[in-house]
Amino acid sequence: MLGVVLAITFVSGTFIAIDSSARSSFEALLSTSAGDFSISAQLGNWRDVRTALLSVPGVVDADIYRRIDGILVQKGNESQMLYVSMYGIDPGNLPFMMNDATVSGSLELPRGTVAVSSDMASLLDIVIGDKITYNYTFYDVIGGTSRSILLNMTVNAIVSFPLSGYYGGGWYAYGFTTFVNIDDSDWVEEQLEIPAGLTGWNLGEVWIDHNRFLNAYDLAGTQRNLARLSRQLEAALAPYDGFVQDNLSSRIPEFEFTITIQRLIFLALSLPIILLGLYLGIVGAELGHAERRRELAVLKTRGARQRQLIGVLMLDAVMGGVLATVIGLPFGLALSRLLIGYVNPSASSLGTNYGDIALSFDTIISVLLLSVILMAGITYRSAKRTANLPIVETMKYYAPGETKIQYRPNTDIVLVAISIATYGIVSWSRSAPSDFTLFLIGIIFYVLLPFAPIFLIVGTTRLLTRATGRVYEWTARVCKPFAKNLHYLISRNLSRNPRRSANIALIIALGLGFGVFIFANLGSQQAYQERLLRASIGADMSIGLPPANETFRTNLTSLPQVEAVTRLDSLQIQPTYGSAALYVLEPDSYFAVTQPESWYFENIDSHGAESILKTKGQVLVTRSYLDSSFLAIGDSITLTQMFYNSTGIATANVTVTIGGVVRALPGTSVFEYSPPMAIYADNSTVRALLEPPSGYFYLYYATYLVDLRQNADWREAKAEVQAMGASQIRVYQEELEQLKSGPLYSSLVGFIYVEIAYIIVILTAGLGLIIYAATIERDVEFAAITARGSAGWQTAGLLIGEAFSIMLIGLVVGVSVGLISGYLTSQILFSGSPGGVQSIVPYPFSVPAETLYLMVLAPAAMLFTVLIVSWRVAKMDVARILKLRGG
Amino acid sequence: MPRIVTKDLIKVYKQGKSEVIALRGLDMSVEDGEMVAIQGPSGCGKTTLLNLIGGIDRPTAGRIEINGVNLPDVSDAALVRHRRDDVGFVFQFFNLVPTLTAEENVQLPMRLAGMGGGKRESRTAELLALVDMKKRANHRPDELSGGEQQRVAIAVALANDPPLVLADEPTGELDTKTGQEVLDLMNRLNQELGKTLIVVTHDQRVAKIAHRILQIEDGRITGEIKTR
Repeated sequence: MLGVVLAITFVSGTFIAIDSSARSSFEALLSTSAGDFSISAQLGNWRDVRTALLSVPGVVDADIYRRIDGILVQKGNESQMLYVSMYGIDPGNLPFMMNDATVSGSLELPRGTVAVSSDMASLLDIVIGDKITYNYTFYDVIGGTSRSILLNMTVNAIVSFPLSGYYGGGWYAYGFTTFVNIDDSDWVEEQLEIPAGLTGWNLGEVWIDHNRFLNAYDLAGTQRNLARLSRQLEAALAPYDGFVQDNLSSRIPEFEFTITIQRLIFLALSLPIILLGLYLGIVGAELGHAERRRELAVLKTRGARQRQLIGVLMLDAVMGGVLATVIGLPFGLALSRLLIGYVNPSASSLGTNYGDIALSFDTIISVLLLSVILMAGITYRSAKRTANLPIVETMKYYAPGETKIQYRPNTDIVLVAISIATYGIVSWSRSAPSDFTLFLIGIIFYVLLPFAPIFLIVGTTRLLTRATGRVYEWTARVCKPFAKNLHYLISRNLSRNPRRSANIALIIALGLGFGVFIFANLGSQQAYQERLLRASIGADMSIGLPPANETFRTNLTSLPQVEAVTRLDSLQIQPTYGSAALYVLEPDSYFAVTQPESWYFENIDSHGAESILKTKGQVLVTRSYLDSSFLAIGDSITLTQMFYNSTGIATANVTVTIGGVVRALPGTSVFEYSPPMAIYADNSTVRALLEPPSGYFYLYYATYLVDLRQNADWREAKAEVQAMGASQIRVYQEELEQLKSGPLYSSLVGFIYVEIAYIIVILTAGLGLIIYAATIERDVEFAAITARGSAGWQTAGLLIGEAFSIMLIGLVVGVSVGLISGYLTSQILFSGSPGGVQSIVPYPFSVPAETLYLMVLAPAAMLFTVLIVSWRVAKMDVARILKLRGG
Repeated sequence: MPRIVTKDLIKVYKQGKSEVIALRGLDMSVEDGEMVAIQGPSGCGKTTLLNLIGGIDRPTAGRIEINGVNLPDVSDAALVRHRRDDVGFVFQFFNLVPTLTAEENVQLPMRLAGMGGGKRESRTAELLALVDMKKRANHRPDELSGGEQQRVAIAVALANDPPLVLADEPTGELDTKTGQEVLDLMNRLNQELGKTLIVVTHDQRVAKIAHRILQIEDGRITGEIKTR
């Protein structure tokens, strides 16, 4: 029953942890909403609207803002103009979208001043103190004329938003935004003569007391509270022709779904524990039934039928299942305190509330059902076999069921064959042309894929440990130091009692196999993310929005933390065939700073690529662009650039030759989601595309890639670059740390580490108990060997040797299969689905150092347990045992 | 000189808070080459005496001299050597290793003694022939009858050619005919091989082959009958 208890403890601990973190999960989910309620009010002063909202009981804060779209902005008299959104904000109560923004300057914004977003500042080369002009243009559709009203403003602040600037509620917080003081919104609208129907409304976000109105454990009550509160807010806004939107109620079904999915995900992640517990339970059940075989045989002599005996054993099992739940739940409760930080992948940085301990009815019922099903499952086969044992044979001292080998390898051969076939067919299907037959066959094997490692471990271990005694002879030789002259007894004992040895080896192999498989996939996924990150950023640091002044590069290069700098410009040009972005590189510095890995290139290396780019008239293209446009190396294509001014468009063309193909180049693509369509050229090759006629401009994005010095402090470097007016700064080290500390990653990794530690506990405790039970059964045998001239520890050495042999087999099979299946799964599963978008970043296979710890710690812990159990054998009272048992 | 001498032998077992005195100052001696039967009611200390002489247990007090060496004084390692080289044990319930064949069971004490492979095999064959079990050498205990198992057990006891054989109820689990076969075998060990035998038994037939019968009651020798 121990195996089931251990499994149930972990599962119940996980479920209790999920239940107990419900409040935190709920808060995390709601934290992405831009306001608990959103309001809009057409009439009235913003202060009055805010006061009305704050007067509603339960409202803790409200921020009001105004917004107008469709205004053009230009810097001074320069021709380049951008459409912007204008927000009127209250500096004392900034809207939700400003939460993660970085502000240079002041948001106090006296009349006539404005704050601008950093992307806009970068594009128009705006710094604090510059003058910008709002330009509101009226179009007379009937008369065919237009009229522009201009308003000059002074830039008082520059606001940088995080890269992913989308917040719930539909407001885009990045992309050409300006801010004025909300008190001046009306003034700006008047100055620009914006018609009455197009002026901004009072918009806002309302925040309520979550502790008072929201209860993650009473969602019906929460819904009711929110509905009533919404009515109160509408009543408060009635004088202002207001409208209220409840942002929270719609999240409740999402929350319920999240909890359900969490349970399923973590139950699936707990599968290794359940399987281990199952196998341990099977061995335990067999041991228990073996002990009771004489008792059952006696019942048979008294007239009991076979079905009655099976019924008795199954009833025992069901009651054992209930008992396992009764024991498992309290221990699970304790374990849940350890797991609680790891079962909440949606937790935000807003803080977590883990004070609750929640044991729901759902959890109790689920755990009870699982426990009873597991107990029944592990018991049935053994019960049937034990009840079938012939009476006379069973009543003898030596039971033949213990020593006869009744093994047919067919099942295990099939298991191994299925797993090999699964990996083979899935691997092949990824590259084979797809058709319906392949699709049908492939589906079956994709479904089998998660089970392939288990089949491989089970089949291989059983074949090795039951089909032949040779493997025990080999491993027994390793045990000579322990058992000395009795080492031959080890292989005899193991090969003559193969079922139990096989099951123990299987438990060890499964435990280690799971651990190695999980670590290998985790390590590979981590290595892939690191590679992806590096490819996306391109270097140690990338600066996406540098100031446009000419001294920036010089100042950047002179920073003490900086080793080298390269500039990368991206332009949206139109090639003759297909569509692609053009990246203008500085070959010398680019390759020195980015140091691309070999996987970027096809048929050439880094030096070859550099050489092609340095050849005037030659370009590199990505494989995806080459294939999608049916081009080949040596083909010529014409690149067309558009230049703009306020009255029209001009174009420039350059004809280039495709000199080579790459998968992509660092820092030039979003690598994860779509194949990059890109053309790479040197400045001299495409110069005509970079020199607009006088009075015209063109759209381009300049990025600087920076190689930092060894051991340079990236934080200092980033701060200095920000101080120069740059934004959209990405630092590889910073994002790596964020990746590892992100809630989803740290949650899953933390859970897996706890799971692996628990696996070691199962292996140790389970093995210890099995061997302890086995020694009790073999007391007389050991006592007789000691009576016949073996020293106590020499006899104990038999036990240690047997355990070590089994452990060695389990270790070799488990680790080997774990590594092989980890490699195959990582290459097959995580490098994208067939027919879907494949990541061009190759998926590495990486085995982290923790795997070695597992391979050393787990066997060490098990051996230590065996030593403790062996102490009993070494120090046994031989006389008492032989006397008691008939010596 | 007597081979085995016990003087004031006392053995006390602690069972929880109570004590059981199995031997209460037992004196006895056994000559070299003698076959002695020990009889007495259940719980009188027969098996305890055998365990102490065989080095399986240590007395609470008293002396057990075997060839002049006081067993209680020797180290654990010396006791192991005594069990291995000087004594052969025959148990009531045979106590063969269930996963080994008859042949391998006989070889077990030889391996413990470090005997080489060739010598081991020849001696095993000799012993199995002695107990008339050569044809069943490759069978495991569960494939042998009770009598056959006991004969193998006797061969195991003789594996390292010990001068002393201790038998605890050797015919206790056997039918009359088989028991007689075993007793005949034990008689041969004494008469032909010159082994000193101490046999704990309720079997009256032992009286016919033993030199002496010692009666034990309440942990002491209460009577002695010379039969030959």
